[in-house]
Amino acid sequence: MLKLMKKEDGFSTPYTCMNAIKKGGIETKLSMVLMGFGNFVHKQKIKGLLYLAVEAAYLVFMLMNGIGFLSMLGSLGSVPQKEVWDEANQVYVYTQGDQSVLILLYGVATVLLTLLMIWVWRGTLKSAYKAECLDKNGQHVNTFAEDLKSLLHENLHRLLMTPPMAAICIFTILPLIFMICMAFTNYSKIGNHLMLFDWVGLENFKALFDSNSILGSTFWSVLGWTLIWAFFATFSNYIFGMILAMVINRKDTKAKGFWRFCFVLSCAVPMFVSLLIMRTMLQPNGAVNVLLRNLGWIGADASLPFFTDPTWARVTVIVINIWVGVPYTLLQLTGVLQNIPEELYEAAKVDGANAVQRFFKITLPYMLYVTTPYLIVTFTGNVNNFNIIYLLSVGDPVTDLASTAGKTDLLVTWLYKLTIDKQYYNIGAVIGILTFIILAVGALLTYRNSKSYKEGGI
Amino acid sequence: MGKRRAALLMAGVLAVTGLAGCGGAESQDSGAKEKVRLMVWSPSEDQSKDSGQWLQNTCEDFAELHPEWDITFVYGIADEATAANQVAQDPEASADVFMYANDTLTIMTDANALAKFGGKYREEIETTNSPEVLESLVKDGDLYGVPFTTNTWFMYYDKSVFSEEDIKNLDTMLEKGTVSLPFTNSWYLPSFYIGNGCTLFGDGTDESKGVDFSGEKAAEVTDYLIDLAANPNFEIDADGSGLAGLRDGSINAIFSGSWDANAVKEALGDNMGAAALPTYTLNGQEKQMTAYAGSKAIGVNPYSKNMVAAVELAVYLGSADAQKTHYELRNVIPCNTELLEEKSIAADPPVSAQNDTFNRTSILQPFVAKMNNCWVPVENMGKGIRNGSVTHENSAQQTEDMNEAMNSDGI
Repeated sequence: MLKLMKKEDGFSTPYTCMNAIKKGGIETKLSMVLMGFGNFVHKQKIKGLLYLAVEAAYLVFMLMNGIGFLSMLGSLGSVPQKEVWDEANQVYVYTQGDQSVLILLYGVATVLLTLLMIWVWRGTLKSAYKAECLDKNGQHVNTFAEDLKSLLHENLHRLLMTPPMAAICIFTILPLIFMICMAFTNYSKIGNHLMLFDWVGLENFKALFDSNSILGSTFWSVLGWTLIWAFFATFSNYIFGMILAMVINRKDTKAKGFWRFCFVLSCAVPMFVSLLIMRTMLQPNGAVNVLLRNLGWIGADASLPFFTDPTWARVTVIVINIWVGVPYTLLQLTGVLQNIPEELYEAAKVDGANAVQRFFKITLPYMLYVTTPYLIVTFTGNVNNFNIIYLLSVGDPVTDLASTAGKTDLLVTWLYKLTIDKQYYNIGAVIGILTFIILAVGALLTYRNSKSYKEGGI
Repeated sequence: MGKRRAALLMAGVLAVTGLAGCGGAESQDSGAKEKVRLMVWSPSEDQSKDSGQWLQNTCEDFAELHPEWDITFVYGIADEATAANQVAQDPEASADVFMYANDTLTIMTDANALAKFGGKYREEIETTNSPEVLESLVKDGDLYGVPFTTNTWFMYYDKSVFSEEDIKNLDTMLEKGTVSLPFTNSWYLPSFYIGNGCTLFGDGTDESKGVDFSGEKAAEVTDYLIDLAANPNFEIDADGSGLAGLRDGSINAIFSGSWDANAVKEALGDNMGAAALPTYTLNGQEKQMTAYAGSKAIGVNPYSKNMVAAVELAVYLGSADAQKTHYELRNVIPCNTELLEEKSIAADPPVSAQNDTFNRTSILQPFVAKMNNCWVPVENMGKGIRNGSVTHENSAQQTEDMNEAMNSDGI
């Protein structure tokens, strides 16, 4: 890992952690235990004291709470809630029992904090060694003021990157690890493990991959439909958006702005509003069916099974997705189209290429080149497209009565049903992890193989 | 000297009250009012100006009855059906006192998020309620709430279409008028199965016995339901279509609960009738439709910082006075035994229909944890029949599937 970083940095420094331990003087070695000691001896008093303060703060935290948190992490708590009958007041009084969720959260946070501390510890060694070398060679050792100043100049990246990194650690990485941990526990309503739960290893993964279990068979069918949906949702939008964009962009089309305005108009209504209205309209006794009955196109008490027949439901959600999604693609692709140099088309015309040839030889390759990353993002977004499915069909229809998912449920809406409705948090975490893996692998593979990555390095 | 002594005394008193403030409940004898903060959750209708702000008024009455406390009420909105989920998810951030439907009881007890009532409070609750209602709130011998209404559904009908005799049998009604039932709602649909001898968890409390919606007795009900859904005089009630039908006269009877009483009254006027559930004719035999019945109750959060005040408030919100105003303002049918004997209340058709249903044509809705698995499969059965995917050819198999799903965690 170290070597790799050096390569990427393009330069190497003698002030590494290993060198500090091997070649450093006694004061540098002492810094291993008493952080900041090396800096303190070599003219960097404030820096040394700061390192010491960090160490003290960490030790105090560990002694007060941290060790407790870590020791509970193994068992995740075992003390149930206790109740005591208060005879004088005639009420039950409750003392709080262990809450495995909180124990897990605090434990994970402590582990992260410890990793951070190790990183700081390496920093103090490097810094001490550097100060020692410079001081012994009679070179200038930075004062604290100079260090601070350097943050605005050569170390500007540290100053600017620290707040977002801290935020990402606290708000993204910590919850992520916490959620991933849940996948290895029995945190679920089954067997009443909502308050106290234990580690179960890979049990949940086994249940999911066991195609004989209801969960296993549901998983594969939901995964299959999720991929089909993501493919059609992405490319139907792309193709229809492209056709619209090209028609509007034609030289002979008049009032381009007006047409664009018309098609973008559906963005003006919040998406969930249009989706819920669609849902109501397409119900068995909704506006669309009533209209068709009144027109006499279907029988008086017949209705088109928009959300009640699996195939109909699947087509319906894809079609409605086109309607709400095309405006965005239209805008995106209009920009790309206008960027294609006109000379290319003129040269092609001179060479005698017809419209179809021009499209497939010039327009499409150019668009794909620019928009592959966009397509990948859209595909990923569609795999996780909770809104459309949950607001339109709620995953219905369910044809397999024993299953927890319907025929239009995506992994993400199924996950929602399992966690929020059924409170199977562990299974939810497993599905979340698998969704992530599938998406990450798929996205990386396509991206790495795309022209825009190979040639342009976008 | 005197001044100095007074100052010392003052300081002492301040210190004592200050300390007592931290100690919470032990400060009653210090003379000063104890500051109490109570968060109360109820459905929004209980707090809206249009229906008389029942909750705020009752809570203020309660504060007046307890001058020893300086109570700050914090009101929040959570209806009885979903409050349990919120409380169970994060009890510490939830209300001290809240209302819940008794079928959600285990959601909270599983999460250690519901306090028991004992001693004098339990006695008070027991003396003012019928054993059947109390039974709906007792788990393992412990009482978990103060009931304020029974919760079930019954039938509203148009008196100009159906006679007293007609409404005894659903199939007779279907010959004379149009009937609508929330067919795809799993609170209503099982009534047919239960009527033909299907059982849930033995007598409703024995989780190990599981659900028995299988075999001939269930399959023939499925067949009946397929015919029912296909009957031109039967409409599936969804998204308020039944009530809308009552208004325009296209539907003559619906199945619903006390919450729709005002709307039905507006739609039917003097022709409004309410009755317990009818029977239905299965293979020539009369079977009684049997509803799930339960209660709605006031619960207390075990994490409450003022347990005594919270329990007192819960008991007060479920008292006869509070139930009476609740009935007057919002038509919430009381369950207090004394109130039910009052003539003006007993004569109200929805009240008598609900009580008749509760006593005669219902079973206590099981609230064992596994009951959670019983909703979606039945709902899907209803939808399957509506969509035509459940037919006479596959009804037996589909019924077995449903039974299997009701007995399974889906894992």
